[in-house]
Amino acid sequence: MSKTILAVDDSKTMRDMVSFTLKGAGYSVLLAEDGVDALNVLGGNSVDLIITDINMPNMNGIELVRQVRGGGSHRATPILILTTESGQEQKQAGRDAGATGWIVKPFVPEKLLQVVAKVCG
Amino acid sequence: MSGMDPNDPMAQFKATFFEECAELTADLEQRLTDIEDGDSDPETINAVFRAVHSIKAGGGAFQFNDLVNFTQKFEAVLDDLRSDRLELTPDIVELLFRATDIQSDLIAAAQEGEAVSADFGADVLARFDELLGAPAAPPKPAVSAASSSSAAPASTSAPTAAPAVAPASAETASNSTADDGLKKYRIRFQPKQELFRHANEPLLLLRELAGLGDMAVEVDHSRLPGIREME
Repeated sequence: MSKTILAVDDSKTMRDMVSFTLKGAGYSVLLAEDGVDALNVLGGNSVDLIITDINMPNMNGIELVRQVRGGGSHRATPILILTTESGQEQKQAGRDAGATGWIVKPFVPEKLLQVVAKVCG
Repeated sequence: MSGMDPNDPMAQFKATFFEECAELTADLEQRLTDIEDGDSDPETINAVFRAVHSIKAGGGAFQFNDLVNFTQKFEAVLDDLRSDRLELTPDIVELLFRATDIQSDLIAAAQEGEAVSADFGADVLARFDELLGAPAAPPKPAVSAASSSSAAPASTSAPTAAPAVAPASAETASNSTADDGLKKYRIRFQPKQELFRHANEPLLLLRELAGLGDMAVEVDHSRLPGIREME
């Protein structure tokens, strides 16, 4: 059975590109537009990996990581942050919140898949 | 007439991107109008930031370098505004409106695959540089509005467009001619501490320089904090 990945981004372009890349490699993909939407999706689905943007309305990616790590059935699910941000402060905030890894946009599909394969097991 | 190539494997994503740009630009203009009318809710400037950020991110994915270069500085100014490092004065609001117009023109140029002039938006970029504390960027030698690369979603894991000039407190160059007739340049580059905060990446500058000829880099890390201090 294929692994299921939740991709969270407020940009439809980015959601489409990430989804296209992951589906092409055989993963099942769920999508969410922001942190609040993502928590709703997680409430009704079992997910093997979360990939999230940072800058989103309603709930940003760092807060989403905190919420997921705070409890619930996905508290140990790997979370990759996929963002244009590359500053040390932001990365530290991501680490402190409990993110598993960090990928800088624009992403190289092969590299994204390599990292995904590594954290998905 | 559209500059979209129907054989471009990225065409469907680009089409989505341009639709999204139209929505984001309309939202951006409305938010700026709200600010001009007195809206001081921090979420409003945050939403303006996110709109420009999304346009920059999408532009980077498709290597629309002129758009990325412009939005990178636009976003940095907005980041300073939302973080209260800059004050949102009426002059600045006017600048943001002008920047939004230029951004729209750059989006249109990218969509049509057209080039823009080398000094397009230069006055607004110079004002951005002033606000960000960076020296004004020199005119670009050549400009193409859009890359119609048919490669995968992106070709690099770093921002595709190098900033024209990174914040630096000193930048001097000297040159000489070696025995083999090749010119040698010695460039001293001393970035300011806020370099990364302003979305600049010195490695991109070095990469561009390396493309011009043989390059040797000597790093003075005497002011670099220890690992423990960084963490």
